[in-house]
Amino acid sequence: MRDRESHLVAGGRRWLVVAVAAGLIAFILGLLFRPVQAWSAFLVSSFFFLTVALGGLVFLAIMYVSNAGWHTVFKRVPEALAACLPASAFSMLAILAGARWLYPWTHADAVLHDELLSAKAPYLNTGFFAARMVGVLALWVFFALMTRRYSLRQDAHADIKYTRRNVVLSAIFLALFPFSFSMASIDWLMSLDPHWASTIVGLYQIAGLLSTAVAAISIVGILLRRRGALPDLTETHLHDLGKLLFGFSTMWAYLWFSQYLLIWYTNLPEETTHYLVRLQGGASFLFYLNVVLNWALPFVVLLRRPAKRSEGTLLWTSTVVLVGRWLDIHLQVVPAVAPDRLQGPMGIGFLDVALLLGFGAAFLLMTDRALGKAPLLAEGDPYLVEALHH
Amino acid sequence: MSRVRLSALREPLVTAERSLAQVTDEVCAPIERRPNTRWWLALLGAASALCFGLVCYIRTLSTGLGVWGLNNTVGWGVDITNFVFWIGIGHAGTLISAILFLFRQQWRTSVNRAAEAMTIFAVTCAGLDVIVHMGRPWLAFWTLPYPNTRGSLWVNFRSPLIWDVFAVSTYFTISLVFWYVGLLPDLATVRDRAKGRIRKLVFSLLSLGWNGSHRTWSRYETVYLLLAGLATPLVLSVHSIVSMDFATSLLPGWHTTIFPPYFVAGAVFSGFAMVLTLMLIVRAVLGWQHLITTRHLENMAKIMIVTGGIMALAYATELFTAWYSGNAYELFTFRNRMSGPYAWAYWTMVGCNVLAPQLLWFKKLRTSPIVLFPLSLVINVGMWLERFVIIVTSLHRDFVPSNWTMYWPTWVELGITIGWFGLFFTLFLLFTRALPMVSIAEVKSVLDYGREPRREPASVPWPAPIAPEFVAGSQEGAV
Amino acid sequence: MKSRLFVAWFEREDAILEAVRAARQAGYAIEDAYTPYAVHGMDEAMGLGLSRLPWVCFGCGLAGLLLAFGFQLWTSASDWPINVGGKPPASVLAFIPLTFEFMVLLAGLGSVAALFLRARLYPSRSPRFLLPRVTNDRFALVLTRPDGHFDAPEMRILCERAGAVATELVEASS
Repeated sequence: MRDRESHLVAGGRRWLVVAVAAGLIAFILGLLFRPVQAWSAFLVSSFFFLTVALGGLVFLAIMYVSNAGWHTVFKRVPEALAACLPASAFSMLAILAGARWLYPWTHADAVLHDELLSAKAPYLNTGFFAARMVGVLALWVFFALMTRRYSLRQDAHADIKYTRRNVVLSAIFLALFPFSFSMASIDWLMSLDPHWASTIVGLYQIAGLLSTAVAAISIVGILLRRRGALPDLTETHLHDLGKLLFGFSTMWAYLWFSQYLLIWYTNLPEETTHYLVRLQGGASFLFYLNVVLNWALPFVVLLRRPAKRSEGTLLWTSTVVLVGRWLDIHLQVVPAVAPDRLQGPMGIGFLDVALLLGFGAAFLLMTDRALGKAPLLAEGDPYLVEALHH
Repeated sequence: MSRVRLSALREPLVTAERSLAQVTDEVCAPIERRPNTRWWLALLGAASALCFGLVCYIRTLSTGLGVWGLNNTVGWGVDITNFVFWIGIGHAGTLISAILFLFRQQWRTSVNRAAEAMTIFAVTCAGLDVIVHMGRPWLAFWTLPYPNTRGSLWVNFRSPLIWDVFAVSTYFTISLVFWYVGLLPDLATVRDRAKGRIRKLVFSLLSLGWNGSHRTWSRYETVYLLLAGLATPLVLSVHSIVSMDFATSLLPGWHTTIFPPYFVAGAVFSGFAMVLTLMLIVRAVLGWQHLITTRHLENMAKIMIVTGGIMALAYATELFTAWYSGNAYELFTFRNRMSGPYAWAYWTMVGCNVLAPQLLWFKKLRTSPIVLFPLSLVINVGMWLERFVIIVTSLHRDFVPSNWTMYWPTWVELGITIGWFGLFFTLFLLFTRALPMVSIAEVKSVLDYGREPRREPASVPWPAPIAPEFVAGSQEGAV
Repeated sequence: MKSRLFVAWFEREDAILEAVRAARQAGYAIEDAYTPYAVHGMDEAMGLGLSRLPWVCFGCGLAGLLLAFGFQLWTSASDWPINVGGKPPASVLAFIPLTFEFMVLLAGLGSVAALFLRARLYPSRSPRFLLPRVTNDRFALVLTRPDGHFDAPEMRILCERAGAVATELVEASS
């Protein structure tokens, strides 16, 4: 077994460390001078990278449950993403420290003077919120660790029972995941604006998570292939990843449209506020840019078969989708926390970018570390033969 | 299948060793022999139900909508419940034929034909139901945007009901075309073994001169893929649009953003229950356990766990948000559902749709036809009740308590409901006599799946170098 | 005009695939292959390019999209605007569902129509060129003469080596 070999970052490690440090310094400075902005940027990037890691686990679980074989060639990639889940979970837990800057319902006096907030207090209170957060994060981390463990054992012992165990584990995980992730989306994102509610939010975030996962897997897979570390990842695999990205991004658009159309159509004041805030002011173009990055662009580009099979096209389309996903979360968080910030020309500040880059660099380093811990080809996987002749 | 390498874990899709000719004989047999008594009895039952429905509808037409139980408060009842139910049933067929095709799930090959037929018959019911539930069905064409003498007064394109007209008719058309294109190779197979002159003529005309040319196969596969790619978003859009009939309103219990995906999941859920019902009967009656195998049953059961799970998620989300939103009307509607006069319907629905499918977690149960058959019926009852609960409980106690009233369907409405089942099963029974119920060509392509490639020479001797009736070039085919 | 065709029958798809590859390597022109089901890998073996039918689908879909959207916009906002429920006459969001349906309708019908035209599929009393048993359990390979060179015995050896169970020379009108 190769030990701690760097596949992904190679010579760029130094720059990534610098980016992590810069992000950290920016965050600390932000905490001192602009705590609301710093915490909202932290929440956005933290949640975004949590969905990347969790997305890797969900992708794997879906593959296990459906007895798929084609993905085994690059199975270590989603595994490496999922290996970042514990660290992502800790960064989410840090939100508890900044909750009072983000969630209005954490302020006792605000709750007292607001009928709605007092009615919701049995659910929206700091103690229960923290308990739920710890609960769902622990649940996901448990499944991530167990799946990875059995997968590595499968490799070492070439015993089919570990794959079977992972199938069972994945089925249980997939039964729990939609409920836990819906709850997390409601808690962490929707309750930023506790007066607004929409039932589709959970499914919407799940669709986003799926397209995030496929985009991230494609990017890491292609980078590894370019370094020559994953030569068995062929055009056919890229074609399938491209199809999945196309499909999930369209599913995201479908849910985005469902919510927008229904709220626009009914025109109820308590619901339309959500869109009014995001559609007014100089940064309203971000609202439309969100749809372009997450759906319109990947849809048009990936419509043609050669595009899905092309390494370069898939790489940059996936990057666009990831940027779009970050923007999508940014647009959930920032207008709710600080509505006036969207009135500026950009709606995206220096802190937002600095934290995104810092988180991204840390995430890349961790993924690289996880990739180096096991052979890149899952030799013991019973389905590997299918993926190699895909 | 020599090119594709499979994992040792893969098992054959067709569980009995069959040659290509055997598959043809087996699938064509039911449509080439005379129907037996059981079939006639089944047809008699289905046709009687259809006739009863017709009688009830004629009564509705001659007397007016007053013979139904609808009133000023509850303007939609069993009629719309039936519409949503049948549209939903159709979705499983498209899912099997299109979405599973895109996901390269080859087990779909032995069930897709019958499932697609089911889709078309279910959408026929739904499409006719739209006309039946109109107050003045003779004016149904008013829903179409045609230039007219009323100043060209156009239809209101902003209305979800108009979207419905286009969604349902497009869905019906595309499903029919998809089904027909899929049938072409099999129609040719039936044509080439037809004995009677009329039978030969009919299948010749229907099969459009299909001769198995690979150049045609290649284009055919391309178009099949395109149709699958189009049918997939189409099927999502149809039930989404149906859900918008409700969700664009202001009514608590109807206006909620999760409705489009929730309706789609429910549709697939109930549709698979209906596919299971039909397939379990077909495989038992025809002895096709090696074509429609335990694996097929198990896979369909698994899809039902997934869609049933999404249903549970949607129920839970709706309920939670009713409380969380702090909207008094919303909360009241859900309280009324759970403890009001229709609580029996709500709890039966939860039992059938959320609790019952949990049995499918156990492999023993989901591979047993004896468990699956009643379960599929239970789920269909649950899904019918779900639509009833959504429609009636939201309407019967609205914002103004002086409007509150109850709705009970009359025997005429229930008769029409029975009539839909009669129509559906009549069409399906006729289908089993007229067309190959399993896609012959597609099943042939997966015969070798999961088997060791046979290398030994053919067991059946080639009778003659060339069949006596064959004279190539004698059939001039210039257009 | 009459042309001579060489027909070889096979019982398995691997055999016909092998024969097709060998025939192409030997420089024979492959008229067509007739099979009871779509044989995967045959496109590459016969050297068929990618179909252009997706472009027809795309074009029809685009036409449907523009037609449906334009028509809704014209009727609702220009020809006879009516205020229903306070919705603006040009309610772009509300026009999307119907636009989508019509796009799918035209794209689907257009692709199938193009298939029927291109593959010359139309109702007729009997197919143009039908070999026996190819819709049931035989795979037939039809070779023709490349540039005036027609070497039936050699074709026969080639096909039989690949596993042909019968071969025949036929005259066909083209």
